[in-house]
Amino acid sequence: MEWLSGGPNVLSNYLILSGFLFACGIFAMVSRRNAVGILMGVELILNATGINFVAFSRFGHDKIDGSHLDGQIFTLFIIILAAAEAVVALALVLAVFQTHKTIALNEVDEMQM
Amino acid sequence: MTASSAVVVVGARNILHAAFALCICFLGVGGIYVLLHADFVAAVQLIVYVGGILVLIMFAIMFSSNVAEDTSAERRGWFSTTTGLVAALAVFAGLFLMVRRLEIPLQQQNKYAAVDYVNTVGVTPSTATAEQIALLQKNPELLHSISTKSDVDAKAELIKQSPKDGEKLFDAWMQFKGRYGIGHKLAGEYILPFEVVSMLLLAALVGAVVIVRKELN
Repeated sequence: MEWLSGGPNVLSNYLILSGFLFACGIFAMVSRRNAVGILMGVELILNATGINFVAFSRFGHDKIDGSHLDGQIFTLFIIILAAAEAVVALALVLAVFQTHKTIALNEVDEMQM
Repeated sequence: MTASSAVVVVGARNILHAAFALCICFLGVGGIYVLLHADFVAAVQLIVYVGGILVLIMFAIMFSSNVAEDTSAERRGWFSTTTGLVAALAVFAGLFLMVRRLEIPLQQQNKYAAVDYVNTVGVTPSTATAEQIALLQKNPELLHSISTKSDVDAKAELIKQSPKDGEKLFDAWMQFKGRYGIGHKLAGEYILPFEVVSMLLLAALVGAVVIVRKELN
């Protein structure tokens, strides 16, 4: 496991972790039947990007002119947008459930009742 | 821990188990933020994700499905599963190879990055006094040697390298590093996105209410 050496002080470990979370998110989005499960996949992907931003803001800068905080601020905005997205998506899920009595996406395939 | 719970999130047959695994995963990501010295982001992660989004997800699950029975056929069939697996593996392999190939070493950082940082940020409001900034500017080598270390290690290193005013240097560095710089940035440079996001949150809230409410006759 030489590629994991260096522990928390190596950029590439964070990138690999976030890549793994991203792949998990994609798998969840493609293969889940439940709409909430797909939403969980989206959240995983957003977390992966957040880790990437913070990791690069810590390790990736060449010249620090206070820019070491920019990545963190981007992550904050990502978190906020994820919250907004989750609220709307879950509201949609509940609305779909009220009309269709299910949230399995392969059974909900018409636009209008 | 984060990675394994992410596997459970995608693998669990019962959606509620996946939600609990997602909780652990969010906590793990929060821990990663702490490791990266992003305390504020970690706190926000805990509050918003674990405290907010996860509760919403739980509510949605409870409202919308019969949790006890609904464990069968969570997948969309073998075709979707294999497609998803192939896509996920391809993405991960690509990212992994790219990271291995790039391998950005820490040491390639600009040697005087730390002192540049002091020079530029020293002009903007920061909690460090002028005296402390001058002290930091006098020791570029020392600053460089601690700029990627954790606070505890940095303190030990400073005291080892200059027993005389290591303590003072550390105080100055901590004051300077701008643990509170996020506030300045959010209210200064990023004020427009900040306001736009607040409007967006309001819109999302109203939109959610409009979507779920029952039609009034």
